[in-house]
Amino acid sequence: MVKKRSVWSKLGEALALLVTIGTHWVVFYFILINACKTKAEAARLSLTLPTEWNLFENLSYVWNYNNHVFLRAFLNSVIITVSTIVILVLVSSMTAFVMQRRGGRLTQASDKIVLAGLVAPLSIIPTYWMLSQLHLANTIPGLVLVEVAIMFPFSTMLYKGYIASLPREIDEAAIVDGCGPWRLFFRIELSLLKPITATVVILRSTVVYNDFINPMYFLSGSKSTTVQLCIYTFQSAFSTDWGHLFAAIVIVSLPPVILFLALNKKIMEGVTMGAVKG
Amino acid sequence: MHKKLTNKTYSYWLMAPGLTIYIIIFAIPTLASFYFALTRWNLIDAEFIGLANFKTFFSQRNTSIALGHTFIYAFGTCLTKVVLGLLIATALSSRMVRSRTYLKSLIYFPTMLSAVAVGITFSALMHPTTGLFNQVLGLFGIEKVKWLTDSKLALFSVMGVDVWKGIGTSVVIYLAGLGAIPKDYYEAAALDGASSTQQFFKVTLPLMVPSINSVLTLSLIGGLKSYELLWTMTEGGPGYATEILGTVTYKLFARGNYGIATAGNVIMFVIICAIVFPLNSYISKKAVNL
Repeated sequence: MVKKRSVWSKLGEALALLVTIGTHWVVFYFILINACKTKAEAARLSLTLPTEWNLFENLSYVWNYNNHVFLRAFLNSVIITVSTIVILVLVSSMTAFVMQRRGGRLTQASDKIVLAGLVAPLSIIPTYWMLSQLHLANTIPGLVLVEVAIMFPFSTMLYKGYIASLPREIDEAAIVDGCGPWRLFFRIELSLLKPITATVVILRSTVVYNDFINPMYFLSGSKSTTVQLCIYTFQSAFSTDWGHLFAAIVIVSLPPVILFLALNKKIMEGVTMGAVKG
Repeated sequence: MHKKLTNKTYSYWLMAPGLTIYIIIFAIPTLASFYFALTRWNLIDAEFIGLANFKTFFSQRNTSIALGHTFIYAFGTCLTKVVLGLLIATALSSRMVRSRTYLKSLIYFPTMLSAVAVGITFSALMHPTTGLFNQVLGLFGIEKVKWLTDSKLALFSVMGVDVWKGIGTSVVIYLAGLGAIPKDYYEAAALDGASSTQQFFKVTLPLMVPSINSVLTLSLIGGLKSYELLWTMTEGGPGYATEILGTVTYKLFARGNYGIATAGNVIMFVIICAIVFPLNSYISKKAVNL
């Protein structure tokens, strides 16, 4: 049943494409073009082309501002994101592996506790208290642990669903060959889990990198800052200095945008996978 | 495999690191919050004062207003994402749309940007005097709108931005669900003379219940928990106009009112559990009956 494309459907699609210019492209263009303007011109917040292209001056201003605070924030964000994701991938895949493969009361009980964490929000202030008991409040390792704990239930469930589709015979063959539990997991399972690990890495790293609320609480009394906290403080520090502010926004948004352009399809698949399993 | 060998292979030790982090950083503080919410607390000493924190929370003007706003914000953004997302996805899923991949990617794209970046950008676009929104309205001779400074409008302006930023997730989830519906269902329905509206309500909608459930749960929990956009765009103002649970809790925390702030955490916890669990089981039942 191949229907011919009607004039109306063509017209509708053309209209939709036009609408996206207004709803999306104008916004992106607005950010980019104002990042290229001088302070005076950017203050008008218009869409006109700049008379004087000032992008590099704006970028270097942000770069040098307040003793390279932005650069340090950037490094912190990278450290936080990378260590959160590495720890998250390891601990949640290991937990999911045993949870899926082994029965018994302890696994069932932990399964229930972890499931509850899918819905329950983080109790922020008691968590802050817990971190200060551990002398980790207002430190980057403390924030990393919080990020891992928040994302742990979701990625454990994701791994569990995937491990269910891997045949047990592989484990058994490895054990017959004399493989211990740790070697079995790190040598064999972890490489079988690559597809789902890619999903976790791609989707979760953007979330950690873009996170604002948790750094705001858990780095509140510290000199360390992240890029998101940084542009938030720029907002008041630069006040009406929109050119510099948008230049900062462009830099901060670059890593997730590049990730999106490179791995568009994988990201879309990951979103659906998470929704169905979660 | 023998049981003993199974136990050795799937050693509990592999679970230990993950569960330890989760229990210490997430589970214990969640349980502890029920106690600390009942205390006057400075993070070192906690003095038991019964339900006084909750009384304060519900009687103070800003916190009680915030509670109402939380519901408006969460349900408003959630319903829009559920319904509008489904409409967009249905339109895109037609075989005749050639630019589907492009449109899908474009709609999803804002999800990748941070709330702070989006918030600052839209604060500029919604600027009361020079903002682009008002400049465009000006072309049509419409008076300037105080998007973020009018206390009646501000909350809804931010909700609009939230939908703009977040609807891509719903569209992507719906499109996957729509793609999984076998084409012959529609052909059979068409042969029986069902119009496209009838096909939508009698074929698409019932089969989309699981996807709708995912979108509903995800965006409702998100709407109840998140306040990053509100914080960057209005910080709860003007006055208490855009104050929600998250913003007041942070303000209480910043002022050192840890006991009351924890009461805010507990209220959030109870609200989310009280809404999400019944809603989920209700929808799941519906899906089974179809």
